[in-house]
Amino acid sequence: MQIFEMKTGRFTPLSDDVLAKFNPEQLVAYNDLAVAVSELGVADVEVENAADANRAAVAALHEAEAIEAKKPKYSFLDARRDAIASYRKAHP
Amino acid sequence: MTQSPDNLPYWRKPVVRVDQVVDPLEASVTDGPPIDDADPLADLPPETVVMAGDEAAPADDEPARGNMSSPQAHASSLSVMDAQSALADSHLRMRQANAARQIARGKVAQALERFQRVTGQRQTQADLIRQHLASEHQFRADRAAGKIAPRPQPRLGSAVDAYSFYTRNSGRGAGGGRAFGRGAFPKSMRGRVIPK
Repeated sequence: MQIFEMKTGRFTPLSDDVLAKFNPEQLVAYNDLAVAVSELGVADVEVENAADANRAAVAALHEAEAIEAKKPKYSFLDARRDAIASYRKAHP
Repeated sequence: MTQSPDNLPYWRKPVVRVDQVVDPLEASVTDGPPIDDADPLADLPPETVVMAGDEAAPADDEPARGNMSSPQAHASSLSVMDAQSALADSHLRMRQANAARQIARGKVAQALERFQRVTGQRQTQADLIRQHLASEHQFRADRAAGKIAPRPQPRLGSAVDAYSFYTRNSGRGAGGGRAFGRGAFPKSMRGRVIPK
C-alpha cells in the first residue's frame, strides 16, 4: 500500500474499503497526511508562480535597461557646459 | 554681547533635562517658531534664478545632445527603477514561497511518519531501496523511449574551452585521465556535467 510517492509527490487516496478498516487514530493520521500533501501541492504551485514572476521581472528589467542604454547620456561635460551657459546667461 | 543658546558651542549649551524634551508628535504646530512662508528666491533678480526645466533652447552652434530633463528621459529612468523594484519584490516572494514549501515538506514528513507508525506499515530500508531501483528503472526506460529529454551537453569550441569547463569548479580535471581515480563518479559520467 503506497499512498504517497516521495519522489514525485503523488498522493493516491485510499479506497473506502481500506479506510473502513482503520481505527479513529489511523483515520486522523490519514486525514492529516492528506491535508499536508495538499498544502505541499499548493506550496509547489506558489513556488512555480513566483519563479515565473521572477523570470518576467528579469526580462522586464533587461528590456528597460536596453531602452535606457540607447538614450544619450548626460555626461559631466554636458553638465559643465550647461552650468557655463547658465552663468553666462545670468551674467551677460 | 549676549549669546543665545543657539550660537553657543555644543559643550557650553545648557543641558536639557529629559522631562523638558517635547515629543514632536505631541507638540502642536503653534508651539514652534513662526514659519516663514516667504519665497527665499523672491529677493533675487529673476534672471539669476534658474529652475529645473527652464533650460533655454540650444543655440544653433550647440551640438545636439540628449535632454535628460525631458519627460521621456525621466519616464525611462523611472521604468528601470520600477523594474528593479519589481525584481526585488519577486525575489522576496520567491524566498517566502520557498520557505513555505520547506515548512509544508516538514509537515508532510511528520504526517507520513505518524501515519506509518499508527498503521504499522513502516517502510524498511529494503523497501526504500526497492522503490528507488524501480523508479530508476522507470526513468531509464522513459529516457530510452524518448519521453524524457536528454541532459543538455556543453557546447565546447576548443580544447581550451573544454579544459576550462571541466576544471571550472575544483581546478582538477573532471573529464579524463585519473580525474575520477578515487572513484567518486562512475565511468559512465565521463564527459558529463558534474552534478552539484
